[in-house]
Amino acid sequence: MKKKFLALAMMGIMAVTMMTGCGAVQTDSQVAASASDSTAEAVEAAAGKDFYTEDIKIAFLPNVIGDSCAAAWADGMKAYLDTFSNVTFDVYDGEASVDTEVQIMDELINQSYDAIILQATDAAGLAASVDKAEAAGIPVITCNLDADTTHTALVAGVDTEAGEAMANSIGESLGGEGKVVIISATPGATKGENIDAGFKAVLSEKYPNIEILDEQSGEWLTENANTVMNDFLTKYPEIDAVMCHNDAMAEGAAEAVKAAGRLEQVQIWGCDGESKMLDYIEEGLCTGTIYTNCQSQGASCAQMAVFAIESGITAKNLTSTPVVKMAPVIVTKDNLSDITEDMRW
Amino acid sequence: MRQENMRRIISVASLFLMMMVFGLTSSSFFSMNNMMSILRECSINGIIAIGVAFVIITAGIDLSTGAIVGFTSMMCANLLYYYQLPATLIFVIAIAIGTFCGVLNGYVVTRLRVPAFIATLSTQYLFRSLVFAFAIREGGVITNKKITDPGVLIMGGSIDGIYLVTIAFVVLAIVGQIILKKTKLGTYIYATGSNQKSAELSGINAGKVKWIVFIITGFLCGIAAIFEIGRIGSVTTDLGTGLEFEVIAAVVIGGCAFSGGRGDIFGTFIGAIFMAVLQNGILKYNLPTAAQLVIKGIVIVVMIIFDSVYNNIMQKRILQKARELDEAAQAEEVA
Amino acid sequence: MKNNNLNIKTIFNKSQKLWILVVVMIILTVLQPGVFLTFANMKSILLSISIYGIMVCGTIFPILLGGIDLSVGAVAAAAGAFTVVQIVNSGYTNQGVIIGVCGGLLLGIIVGLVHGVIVTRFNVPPFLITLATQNIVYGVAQLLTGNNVIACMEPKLFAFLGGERVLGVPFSVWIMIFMALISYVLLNKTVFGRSIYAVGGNAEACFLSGIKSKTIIVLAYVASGFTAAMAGIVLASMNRQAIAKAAQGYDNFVLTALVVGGASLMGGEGTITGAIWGAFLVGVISNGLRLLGVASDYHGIIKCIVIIAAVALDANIRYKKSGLQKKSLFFKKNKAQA
Repeated sequence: MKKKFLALAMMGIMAVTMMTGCGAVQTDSQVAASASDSTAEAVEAAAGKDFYTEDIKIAFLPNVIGDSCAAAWADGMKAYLDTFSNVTFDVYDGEASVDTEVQIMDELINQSYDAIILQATDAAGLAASVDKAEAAGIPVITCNLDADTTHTALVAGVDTEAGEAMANSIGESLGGEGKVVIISATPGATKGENIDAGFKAVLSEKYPNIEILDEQSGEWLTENANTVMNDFLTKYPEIDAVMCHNDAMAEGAAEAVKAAGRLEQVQIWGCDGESKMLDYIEEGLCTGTIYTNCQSQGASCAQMAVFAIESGITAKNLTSTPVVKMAPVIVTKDNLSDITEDMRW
Repeated sequence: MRQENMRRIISVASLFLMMMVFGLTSSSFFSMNNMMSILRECSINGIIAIGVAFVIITAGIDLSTGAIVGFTSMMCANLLYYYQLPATLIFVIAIAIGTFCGVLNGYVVTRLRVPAFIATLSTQYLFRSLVFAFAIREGGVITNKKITDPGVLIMGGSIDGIYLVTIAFVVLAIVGQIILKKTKLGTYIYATGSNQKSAELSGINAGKVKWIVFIITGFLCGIAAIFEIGRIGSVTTDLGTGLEFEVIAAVVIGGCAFSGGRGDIFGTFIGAIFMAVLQNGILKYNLPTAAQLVIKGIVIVVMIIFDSVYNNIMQKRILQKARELDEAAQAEEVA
Repeated sequence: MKNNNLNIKTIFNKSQKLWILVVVMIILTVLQPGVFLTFANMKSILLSISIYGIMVCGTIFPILLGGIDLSVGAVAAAAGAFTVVQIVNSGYTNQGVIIGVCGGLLLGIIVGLVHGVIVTRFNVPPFLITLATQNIVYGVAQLLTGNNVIACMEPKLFAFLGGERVLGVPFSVWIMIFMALISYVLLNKTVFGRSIYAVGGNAEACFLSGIKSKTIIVLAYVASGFTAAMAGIVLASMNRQAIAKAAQGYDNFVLTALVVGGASLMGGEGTITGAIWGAFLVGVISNGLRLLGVASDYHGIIKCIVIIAAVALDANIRYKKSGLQKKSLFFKKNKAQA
């Protein structure tokens, strides 16, 4: 009885607050937008800061710290930005959580960073934060994983194209006929979905006789992919190729295939191009990967940030997000030497 | 009640101390923007912490709060996307779902007599799984869609800089404190937590009390979910993961003991703010992420150890006092 | 009252939840004839749970004492990181492997020691302290790996730990079996083990009868840290790399396995065989779901149902054991029965 009373009182309070405050309540983006529109400084800021003489702060917020991609991006950015003594470059950890990234974005906006390089954990989830940053005059460059809203720039790694490239390679080498299994990313991950889409599109169009036997999630992890591949090997006596959404999983799958003694019969493909994967390809444990030069990608992000700061361009001036795509490189044992030592990460 | 006041003073003092440290060593800490940010960050966890405080005071625990928030949020996102229901209806549904989850928790703990730890661990698993069942899918694949209903998004907004979620937190905290201190339910909650057997002997239906606190927690999780989706504007399948632990840490730092019977909402309020200040302050120094983790961990460990030590000292004092009274009574008898 | 002999009948009578395992396995055998119930598949399942299995062997000690250890994932990551860094620094030599492994295990022991001391000295709830140290230990792992993946493909000695097969069975499974045997012997055949059950059942009584419960508690957490470290090293070997965020969420699995296997979180109840069965059950379900081709999205729900069933059965048994009459689940109970 008391609880019902409380519940009603609660809803009442909320309703009242909503009704009376409705006019005065603003979302973050609205607040930021009105703030940046009205002040004179904002008008000046729109003309751009001088990157080379003023004190500049740039932040990098990757999805998660501790994997080779994030480290390579950070290295690439650092290598470029460290050449300027007036630039401070800080790296944060998104902890693979939308909540954490949103929180840190708020913090970065409050700390008035001059540019933010963001790898969005989730496209829809970070959209509001990116809007808020852009409205406050901070250009946001997304790296690899985009946010679902217009912002200054996106430096995109390959996902759909990677899937397509892998499908082509596998299709060619199998002569158009064979059986393939897929070890996919965590359910809901955009990158994984795009790779999948590209892969399946090419297969159904050009290689209709290649059968996708099964698809299970390895959740980006090596040990999980090992387990999943074991089960595939148990269930399917004939597998010609396995396509993994990232290198870590391909490495795990390779261990499983090797242990089962079926390395000769199974092609193993990954995506990313990390140094360890290249070693695996060299040793013959894996067949190939789609290499992206992550240091170069990081440097590109940094340079886009410089451009944005110098020009003062933010989402206000754009109708859609400009995209800079990284060139995918298909790496197999044959062209391994194309990837030189300094390109490895 | 002097003991409680001591604990409150210590909570507030440590919070104050931490804020001073951050404020003096970093320039932007005490800015209006930052203060509002901190209040906003602590609010969602804080709303849930009110309910969890109730549960912990009854010597129970709730590990499913994060999963309830995740499940409720996903259901809301789902309904918004597929059926475009009006915002007010969504809010009512969110509260209903959260409350229902709380009812389920209470049922498993009181009727099925499963210890709260295992029970809420299992329901956490259950709600997490349900999130996947109800996730928005396009072409069979889970996609996260932006929520565009302005009525929902406004919940993440602010009036003159003060966030709605903070207002809700403060209001709910006051209501929670009133319930604990001024109503019969509050007395029953403390009694059940201090000593369930004697509470039952004096006629309190401990099972009902425990059930009610779980329902309250679920209800508050539903409210928290509304603000969560308002702020972020979309729902991922792992929303709320790990939330339960942050909430429990806030409750314990605020003075509630796992053994039950101790603590209040004021302490929880301070505890929630403490956690948010800690998280916020650490970000100010642009330290390497490893250092951030270690520092945060050490501060929490220190607070937890301190809380336990304090608790022990207080228990000893109570026992000593009881012994003294006993001896005095015996001496009188003899005389 | 702990009848721990390995008589099959006794096991089944004690842990009715084992029936769930049998039922699930029968269903899967029927649905996937010739695929599920094969040696190869069983080996796969054992391999998939080997890391968790190693952790379970040590974490059962604090659980039996009514405590818990949530830091197992963090310790695993940090120990693996330490070992790999040592190996790399020593130039991939065998000495490096030995020093690395010893150092990693020492790291686990130290963390366990800290937990044990804090729990006994300051009376902090173990749930809270092991949760808080997760942050610190993961931070250490990050420091050690420098926020990057450290690959470790050689020397062969290291890769052997996680990768090689001995007599057709992966070495990590052998380690799990070995640790399980050690735990079994410790728990059932030594004074230490009996003390654990005793302290877990009633710490006060133990103190009065002279058992050094504080030492027992500290040793229990040391054991948990040790096995977590060992699991982490094996994981690093399996993956041929150390990463800062390894083993996230493993504490959840370990807890589930222990609870499904019959351990009571109040302490005093639980066996190592039960825990391994619990881990095996979860492994069987995951394996079964994959063999059946169920989409990854739905794995969680089904695992959840089975685990809840196991837990509910357990609660039911506890009910019956305690002699209370079975209450009506929907109607208000009579005060006298309460």
